[in-house]
Amino acid sequence: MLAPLSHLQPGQRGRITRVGGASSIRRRMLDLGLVPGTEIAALHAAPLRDPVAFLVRGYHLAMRRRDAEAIAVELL
Amino acid sequence: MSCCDSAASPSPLRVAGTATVALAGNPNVGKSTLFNALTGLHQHVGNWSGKTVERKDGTCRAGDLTLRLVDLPGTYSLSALSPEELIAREFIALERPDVVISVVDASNLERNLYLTLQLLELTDRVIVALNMIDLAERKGLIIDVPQLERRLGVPVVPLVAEHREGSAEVVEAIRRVLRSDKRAAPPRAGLPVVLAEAVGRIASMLPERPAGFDRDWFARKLLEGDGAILEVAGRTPILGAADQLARELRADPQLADAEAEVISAQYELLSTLLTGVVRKGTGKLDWSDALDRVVTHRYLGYPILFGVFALMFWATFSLGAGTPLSIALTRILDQVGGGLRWALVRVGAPALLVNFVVAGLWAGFETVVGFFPLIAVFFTCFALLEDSGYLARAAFMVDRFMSAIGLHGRSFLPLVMGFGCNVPAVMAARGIDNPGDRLLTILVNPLMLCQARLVVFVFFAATFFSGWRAAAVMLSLYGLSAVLVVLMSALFKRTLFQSEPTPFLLELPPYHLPVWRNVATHAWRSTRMFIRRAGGQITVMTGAVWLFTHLPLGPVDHSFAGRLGHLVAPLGLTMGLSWRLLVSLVAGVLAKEGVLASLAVLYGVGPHGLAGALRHAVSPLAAYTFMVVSLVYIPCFSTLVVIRRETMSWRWTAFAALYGLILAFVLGTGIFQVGRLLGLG
Repeated sequence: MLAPLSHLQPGQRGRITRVGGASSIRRRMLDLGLVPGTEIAALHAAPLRDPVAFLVRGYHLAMRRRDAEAIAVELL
Repeated sequence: MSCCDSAASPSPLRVAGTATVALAGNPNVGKSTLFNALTGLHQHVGNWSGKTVERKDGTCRAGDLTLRLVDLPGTYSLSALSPEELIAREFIALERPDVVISVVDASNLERNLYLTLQLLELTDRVIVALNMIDLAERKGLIIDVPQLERRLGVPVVPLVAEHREGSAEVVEAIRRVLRSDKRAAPPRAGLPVVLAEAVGRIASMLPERPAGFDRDWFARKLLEGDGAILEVAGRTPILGAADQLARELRADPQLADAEAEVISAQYELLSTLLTGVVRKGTGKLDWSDALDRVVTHRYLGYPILFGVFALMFWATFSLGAGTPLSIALTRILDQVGGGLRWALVRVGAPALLVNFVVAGLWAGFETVVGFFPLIAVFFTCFALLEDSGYLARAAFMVDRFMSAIGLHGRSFLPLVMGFGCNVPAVMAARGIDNPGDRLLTILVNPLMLCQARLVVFVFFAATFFSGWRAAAVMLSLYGLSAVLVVLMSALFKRTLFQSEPTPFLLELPPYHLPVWRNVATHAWRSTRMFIRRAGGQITVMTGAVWLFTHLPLGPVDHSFAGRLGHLVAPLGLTMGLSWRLLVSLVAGVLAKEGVLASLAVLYGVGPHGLAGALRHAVSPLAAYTFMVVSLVYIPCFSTLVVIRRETMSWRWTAFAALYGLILAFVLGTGIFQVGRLLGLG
């Protein structure tokens, strides 16, 4: 099942299928290892629910929900 | 010691003599720690020419070999997305250092080696410094170093930079690279066939070293549509044909996403390279995750944040400003000032000169020294928070608020710090990666009600208002300060910094017990930088303003400042401010708390008679207007000097002063006129 990364609930895992968004944002996300095929898990959200911390390639990366919407994941 | 300012020239291999070594790496991998370990005190901090990015150069002597080290800015990649990346990339590609040390976090190899692969595309003289190997072990990662060395084709040195373990081995590896000219072919990511063909076609139309860059690399960047490379190609006629071809190829749907394909291929290569090299043993970093759950907890997160920042605030402004040490320091300086006066009188110096030197220049120097404990304590706290990993969590938690006014979570600390003192607050903005956000944070910072202004406001509130009214006045000023920061950043964001949206991508490094030596080094560097770079200017400016308020000799209102006060008196009319109040504001530019002292001089009363004199001459409405005006009118000199230092721009410094003046006039007029209409005057 495909969903935007921003829909991942804490504890849920997914596999990135597509990275969209404005070109500079996209390039930055790709550089950080968010390339199609990568496994990613949602860890926890900030107290006001945004941003969200993810576990990707063994490190923790925080992202705003708005930016995470541009990434499509396949739920695992 | 700026060793690499000379034009680029490929340098021959050297064993004895001098070699240039660049350090590259992601942020927070201990790159600067290794740099410090290698260079010790032999370093020089400046800026990359024409940029606001810090540049650190240093030397390291190892026997007959002198290494000139350049600490490149921390970056995740060598794309052209930020000034930092461009600086790192152009330094390696064009100035061609003899060796590049790629500092990587051993506990997070995959993403870190991504940068190493990009470095290897530009040069094969790379050493991988496998830092934080202890952390990797604690995380339960076992790294087969010889195997990694074979696969990457370059030396790999495990080390723990913060404990100075492994520095000698790094120097040894540098020697090895300098000595041998035969190196294994670095691993290359296999590109999809169409892509590789397209790169080849573009490369065939390029000269040997297009604009000084490697040919294949340049061709691929053209195909990727790299901004900086497109610009180079655009202004270099002989590259026009290749540029044209790349443009056509980019339009081909099969090649439209070359950028993503290249990056994917590199990450694929990395997982192949690391298969069998990194094994998962026993051990976990559970406590870091557990701590995160508490620290960023839904209900506990903010109280903890408030507590940490309150503690930092308290430490800076009570430890930093009121300790026996700083009191003793002030006393000694006063004594020396007294001695200076005595000596000058003794040699028969004219009274004007004596006063200028003692009350002007020496007082300016005392201001700088007065900042010293405050800045030292603040940057110690700052380094502790940064090094422990908490600062990243703080940014994570407050980002939601900051994004509402168009800023990032990283801007929070500098803004909050402005409630204490704008000088370290402006310096702290250095932690913000995005140049636009950084500038914006610096520009609105003076609107934060600092301690110096607080002294003036408390005095005014107590003089003109009683009981709850005084408290309400103080609260309204704090509220106004915060509202103005929000409004002005929203306004500047809409008008001056309309750029492409920048993503908020923040790495949350594992928590880490700070190492005192590193914290102390960091704090000492920032403090020294302030004293060295801002100290002289603040002293000179203080002297200049002293002359302005004391020349020509005679009563104050005949001085230049007094005349200026009379000249702008009509402006004060609409705000209900007398020329005396206006002149005191001129003096307040020096240091905001100085407003009170100069008012006492202007009204011809001692410090104890000021309250009475003011009550007699100024209405409560005018007093409130005066407070609002002095809140926003202009940053103090010390802040302006630091703004100039941090922005590297006179234009932005002038802007910071000018918008404050205009805003102060508008607000002052508005408040006074509305107050009068309401019958408050």
